[in-house]
Amino acid sequence: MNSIKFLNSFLPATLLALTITGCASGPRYSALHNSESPVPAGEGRIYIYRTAHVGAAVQPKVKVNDEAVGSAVPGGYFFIDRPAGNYQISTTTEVKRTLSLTLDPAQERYVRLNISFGFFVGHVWPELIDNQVAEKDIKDCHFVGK
Amino acid sequence: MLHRNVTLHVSSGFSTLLKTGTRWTQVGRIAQGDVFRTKDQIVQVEASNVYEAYVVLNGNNIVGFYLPVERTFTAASPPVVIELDSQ
Repeated sequence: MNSIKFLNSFLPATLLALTITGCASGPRYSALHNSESPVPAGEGRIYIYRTAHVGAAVQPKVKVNDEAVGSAVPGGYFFIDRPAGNYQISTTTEVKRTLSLTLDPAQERYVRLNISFGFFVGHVWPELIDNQVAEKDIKDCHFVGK
Repeated sequence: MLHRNVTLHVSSGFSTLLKTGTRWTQVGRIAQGDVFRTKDQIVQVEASNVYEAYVVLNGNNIVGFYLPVERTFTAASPPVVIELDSQ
């Protein structure tokens, strides 16, 4: 009985702590975006962000053309500059999900990392978002890049 | 310019909406038709993965999508007839 009482008080606090520690805490996109470095000539910029806090413990690496560039941190975003060309952005939990996209010179693209239920763990899957929608979506996300 | 919303289905069961008012530019030609791209909306084809896509037009029919990264064609099922203008 005592152990049940202990669990009742301990478990919610633990879950809350896990959620908080798993979330982003850097400056917000809305504060940082205007002071970002310009995109180098001939390159484009890809913003990658995750608004969903559901499944906060699931934070797979994000890869661009198989190179790890960051993690799917809930409430976080980062960006990468790459030469114009074709790219595949992928995340892997129990399955690998890939988004294929093109990048033009000076183009900004926004990729949202969505989460859906899986068999054992959630699936994180990247989706290309219209810039106008994404800029509203991402504004409260915290920078988690380098 | 597209004068009405067009919903296209692919064999995976997912659908893609092309929005009214979007303007399209021809960027190439493949065996299935002329390839058009727009900057007015994101066009994606979803299956087990997600693919940015261009639209393939044969006459007045949108017959499917060209996936520029994969360099492959995926058919719309069924093709959709649209009204064309050259604006």
